[in-house]
Amino acid sequence: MILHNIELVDFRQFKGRQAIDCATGSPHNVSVIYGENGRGKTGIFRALMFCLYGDRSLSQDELSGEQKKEGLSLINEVTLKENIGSQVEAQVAISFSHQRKNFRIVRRVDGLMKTDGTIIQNPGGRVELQQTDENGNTQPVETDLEKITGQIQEILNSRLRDYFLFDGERIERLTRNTRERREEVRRGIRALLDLDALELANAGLKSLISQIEKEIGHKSTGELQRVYTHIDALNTKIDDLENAQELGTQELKRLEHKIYEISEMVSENEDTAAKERKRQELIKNSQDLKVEKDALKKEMVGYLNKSAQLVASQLIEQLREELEFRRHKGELPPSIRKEFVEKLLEQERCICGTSLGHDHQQERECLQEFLVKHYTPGLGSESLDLLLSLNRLSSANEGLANQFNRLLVKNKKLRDEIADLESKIKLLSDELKEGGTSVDDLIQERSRLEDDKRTLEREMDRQADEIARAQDDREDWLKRTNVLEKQQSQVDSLVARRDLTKETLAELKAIYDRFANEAKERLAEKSTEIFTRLADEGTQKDIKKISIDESYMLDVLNWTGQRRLGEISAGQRQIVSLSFIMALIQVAGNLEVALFMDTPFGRLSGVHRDHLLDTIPKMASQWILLATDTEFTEVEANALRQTNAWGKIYELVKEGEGITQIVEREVHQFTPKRKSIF
Amino acid sequence: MRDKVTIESILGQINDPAVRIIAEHSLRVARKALNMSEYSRKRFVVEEIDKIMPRALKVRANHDTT
Repeated sequence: MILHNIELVDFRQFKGRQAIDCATGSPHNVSVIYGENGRGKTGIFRALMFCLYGDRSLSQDELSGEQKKEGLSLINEVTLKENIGSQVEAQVAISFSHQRKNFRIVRRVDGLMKTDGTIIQNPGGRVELQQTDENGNTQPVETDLEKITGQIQEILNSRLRDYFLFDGERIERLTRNTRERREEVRRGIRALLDLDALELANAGLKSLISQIEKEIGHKSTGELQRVYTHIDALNTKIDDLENAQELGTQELKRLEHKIYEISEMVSENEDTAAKERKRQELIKNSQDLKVEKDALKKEMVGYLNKSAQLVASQLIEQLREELEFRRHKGELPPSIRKEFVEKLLEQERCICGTSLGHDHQQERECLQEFLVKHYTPGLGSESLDLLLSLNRLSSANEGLANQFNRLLVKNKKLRDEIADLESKIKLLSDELKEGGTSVDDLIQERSRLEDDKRTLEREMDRQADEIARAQDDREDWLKRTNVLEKQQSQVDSLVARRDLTKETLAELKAIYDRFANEAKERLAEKSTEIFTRLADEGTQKDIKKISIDESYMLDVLNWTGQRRLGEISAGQRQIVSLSFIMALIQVAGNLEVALFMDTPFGRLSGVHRDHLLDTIPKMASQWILLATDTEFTEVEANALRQTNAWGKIYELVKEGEGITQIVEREVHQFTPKRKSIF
Repeated sequence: MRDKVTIESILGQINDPAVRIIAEHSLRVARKALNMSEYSRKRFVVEEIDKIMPRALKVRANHDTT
C-alpha cells in the first residue's frame, strides 16, 4: 500500500476540507508532517486508522466508560458549535495504490452538538471504496461495509498494520524486555511471515482429517461386502436352478419325444392295436366280472349263518314226515282243540253256529265220536306244535335252498365267464408277444415315461417358483446394494479426501519447519545487518547480533553471545526495533507498504537519527514521518535533504482554538524552527 | 543472499498439483480467517478447504490418468 493523498473534512482539529499529498515516487518517497505538540500529528495518524479500519480510538488513548465504547469524538468541535442542533459530517478520504491498482476510500461519521454542549456522535458510519485497475478502468463504488473491510484486510491486514503504522512510543515499546512485548514481537514475526496463517492452515487440515475420518467411521460398516456375498450366493443359486431348468427342459423334450415314439409304435400296427384294444376290453370285462363275483361272494357269505339250518333240513323233513304219518293215523291230536269241541257239545252248537237240537243227533254223535277218537291219551298237543314248527321250517328251508342254489349257480357262471375271459386275454397276450415288442410293455413304458414327465414338470414348476423367489430376493438385495454402494462411493470419496488432506498437511508441516527456520535465520541476519547500518559505534560494541530464538522471541546478544535485551537503553531499543521492522519488510517480501511513523526520533541520538534518515528511505517503499519540532530540527532536515528522498513537507499550524491548518511547505526552502536539541 | 522469503514461492514448488491446490488454498483461507474471531476461524478454514477438495481431487484424477 502506497499512500497518495489524505483528505480531511471537519475531522478532529482539521476544520473544513484539508489535504495532504504524500511523496510517492522514487527517489522522493519521504513525506514529513511537521508540528509542535498538540498540533494534530496524532490526529493525522488517527484519520488514517479511522478511514482504513473504522477505528475510533487508538491503543494509546486512555479512554474510560462510555468513551471507551463509543470512541473519541471525531467531528471538529468548532464546526459542531457553529451548527448546534444540526447534523454535521466529518470525513476522511484516502487515495492509495496497491499492486498497480488505485483505490479511494472515504469514511464518514456524523453527529451533532446539543445546546448544552453535549456531542452526540452517530455510532454507525458510511464507507465507500472505489477501485481503478492498471488500465484505468474504474469499478463501481463499493458501499458494502463487509466487502470493503475484506478488501482492506487483503491489502494491509489489520494484524500487520501495527508494524507499519505506528508511533515512536510504540517503536520503543516493541523491544522492551517484558513478556507482553516479546509476545507482540513473536506475533509480529509470525504474522508478517504468514507463520500464523500456516499454523491455522495446518490446524484446519488436521481438523478436516479428523472430521473426514469420523465420517468414514460412520459410513463404512462392511455391510456392502456382506450384501455382495449374499447376492453372489443368490446368483449361484439362480444359475444352478436355471441350469437345472435347462436340463429339465431338455429331459422333458426327450420324454415327450420318447412318448411320441412309443405312441407311434403302438398305433403303427392296427391289428396289434385292435388286439390290444380287445385285450384291454377283455381285461376290463374280466375285472368287472371279478368285481361282480366279489359282490356275489359277499352275498353268499351272508347266507352262511343259515347253513346249519340247511344242513339239518333232511332230519327236519324226516321228523315232520313221521309226525304227519302219525297224525294221519290219528295218533296226533287234531289241530282243533279238545276244549273247543267239548264246548260246542255242551252248548249244542255246530262249529258253523247252527244249534244241535234233537234234529241233529247225528252231528252230536259225530262230535262225541271225534272226541273219543282223537283225544285219547297218546302223543300230546306238544307233538302237534312240533309238527307245526317243523312244517314252517320245512317250508323255509325250501326257499333258502333255492336261493342258495341260485347264488351258487350264478357264482359258477361268473367263474366260468372269468375263466373264459382270462383264457381269451392270455391268448391275445400271447399273440401280441409273438408279434414282437410287447405293446403292453410299450404302453407300460409310455406310462412310466408319462409319470416321469409329470414328476419332472412338477419339479420344474418348483424350480421356477424357487427361481422367481430368488430373483425377487436378489432384486431386494440389489436395491439395498444401490444404497450401500452410494454410501461406499461416499466412503471412497472420503478416503481420497482424507489422503489428499493428509498429504497436504505433511507437505505444509515440512514447509512450515523449513520456512520458519529459514525465515528466522534470515530475519535475525537482516535485523543485525540493518542494525549495524543504523547503530552508532558505541551501540555496535554493546550489541553484536540481533537474534530470534525458537519461539520467535527477539533478543540482542553482546560480544560474548550473552542476551542483553533487558540491559540496553531506550534509544538502543528503538534502533533495534526499527532494524527489526525494516528486516521484517525485507524478509517478508511483497510488502509494498508505507511506513507511517509518528515521532520516531524522540529517544534517538544524533548519529542514530542520521543513520535512520539515510537508511529508511532506501529500504521502505514510502516513509511518512510525523515529527515534532524538537526531533526534526535543521540537522535532521538537512540530513534528509541530502538523501534526495524527501518529497513533501507539511506543517501543522494552529489557527485558533480547536483548529489546525495543514500547510504545505517547500522541501528545499523549509526551515525547522529549531536548529537542534543536541 | 536472497532477502525475501515467501511461502507462496515455496508452495509453488510442490510437485503434486492436487496437494499444491489444497496447500495454497489452505493458506489463503487461513489468512482470511485470521481476521475472524478465535471461535469461528478454524471452522471457516475447514469449510473452505473442504470446498476446494473436489477440484483438487479432479486435478489428481486427471493427473493420475496422464
